[in-house]
Amino acid sequence: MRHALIALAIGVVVLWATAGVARAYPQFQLSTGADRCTACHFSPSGGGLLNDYGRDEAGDTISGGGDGRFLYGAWTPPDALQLGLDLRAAAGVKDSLDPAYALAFPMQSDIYARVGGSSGLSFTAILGLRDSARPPASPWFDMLASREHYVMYQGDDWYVRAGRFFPIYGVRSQDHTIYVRKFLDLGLLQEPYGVGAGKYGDEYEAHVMVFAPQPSPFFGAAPNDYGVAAYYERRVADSKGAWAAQTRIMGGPDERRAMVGGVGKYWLEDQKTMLLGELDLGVQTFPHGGPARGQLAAYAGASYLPKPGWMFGGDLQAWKADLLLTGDSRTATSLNAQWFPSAHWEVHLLGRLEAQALRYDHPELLALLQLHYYL
Amino acid sequence: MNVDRRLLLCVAVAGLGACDRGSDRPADWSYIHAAIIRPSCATASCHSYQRSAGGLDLSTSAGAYSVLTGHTCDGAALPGVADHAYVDPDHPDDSQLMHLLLGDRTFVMPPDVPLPPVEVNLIRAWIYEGASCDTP
Repeated sequence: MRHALIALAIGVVVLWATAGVARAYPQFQLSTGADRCTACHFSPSGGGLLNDYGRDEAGDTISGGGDGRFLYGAWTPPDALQLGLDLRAAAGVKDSLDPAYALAFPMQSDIYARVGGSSGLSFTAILGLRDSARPPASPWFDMLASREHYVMYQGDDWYVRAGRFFPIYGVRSQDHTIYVRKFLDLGLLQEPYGVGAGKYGDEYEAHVMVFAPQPSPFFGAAPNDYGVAAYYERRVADSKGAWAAQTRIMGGPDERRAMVGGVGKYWLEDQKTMLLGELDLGVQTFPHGGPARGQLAAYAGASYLPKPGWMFGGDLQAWKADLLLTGDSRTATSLNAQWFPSAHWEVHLLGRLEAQALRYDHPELLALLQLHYYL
Repeated sequence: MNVDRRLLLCVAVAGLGACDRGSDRPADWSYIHAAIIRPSCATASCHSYQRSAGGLDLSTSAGAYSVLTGHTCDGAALPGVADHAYVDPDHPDDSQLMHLLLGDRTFVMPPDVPLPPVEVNLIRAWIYEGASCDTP
């Protein structure tokens, strides 16, 4: 009970902070024996609310131990109600073309609520706060953000949902700044509105979504585009590995973009190392004039999970906004150390070097320490 | 080799800079906004409609043009917005926007991902050519 009261107190204080984006840890798929996101999460795309199995795993497999249940089990919501809370704060140093400067900010404050059982009809909403209202002074509700809200109907091996959520695409890291999210319009508050559906098999899953512009720019920063995205994942090697093919076609008044890509995942059991990779190629056109641009986004990462509660990883990233142009490429190298001391807590140290056009003589450096609490 | 074949070749080899086609990128506002400003500046935490950091909403082509130049696309001066606050047509070196992009007299923008020189040069060319608005 003491843990629960502390958690609630922290939640009330920190809730008046920034709404950010944090999603799933794709490294835990396959490596923990969970072969798809819905093993641990209610959402087909992962992230957000954990189901009962996911909460158990948070204590038994992912972390150093503890009770992963909501409020540490001090109070159990009715079967048809699931609740959660995600809080993150960060501090660090950023060094770009400016002199280095310190960062400290509340990163995420999201309340999760879901009404419905494990099958049939359900409604899910995420409500958080963003860091600052539109100047000069804005009503308090301008600070509210709901990056996901949708109704979903689930059968035994399929679902259909409608509302606001990201299409299932890519490695779906919790880090919204990695290039395969940030530069592919899968970043902060860019969730579109649409209808999605998916089907699961023993060794595959397939998802599709048609989406439309956000009804108001108040909701975030998504492009003003209509589109469709599709993702097919096939597990191989006795579910130690998986490959996926994906495509997304979108267009609006100012630009049109078609992308195809692939995702690879492999759990090296003996080495306790999870490999993740994504490559996307696309063409962007401009209806008001200008040449088409071929684009490339790539991510390759490896995460070492030596024992429960620890994860060490590194990645290489690349983004090329125009394949025919010299000097506009961007590359990054990251190192991550993540410690999950108990079921609800995470400490994450991130270091990243970024450079334009492979010029690492003056790279941009980011060092960020995050404290994450999940209720 | 036509442009489409060159593009396909570059995609095929996944080149990170093997080709150079900067000269045929138009110094037009509609292109600059769609290809550079919106994806680089109008992100949720920065110059989106909601966040409007520094009072600047750069999320739409027409709106961004207005707040940067102080004029609407049809040339009317915007009341309450400083004339040429960020863009001084024909004079890139006197334009605050260029100083921000280069970080030469102030902090650099965007702060986390400064624009590559090819994109800064395209914006410079647009200002030098009069900073007109071709947004429909």
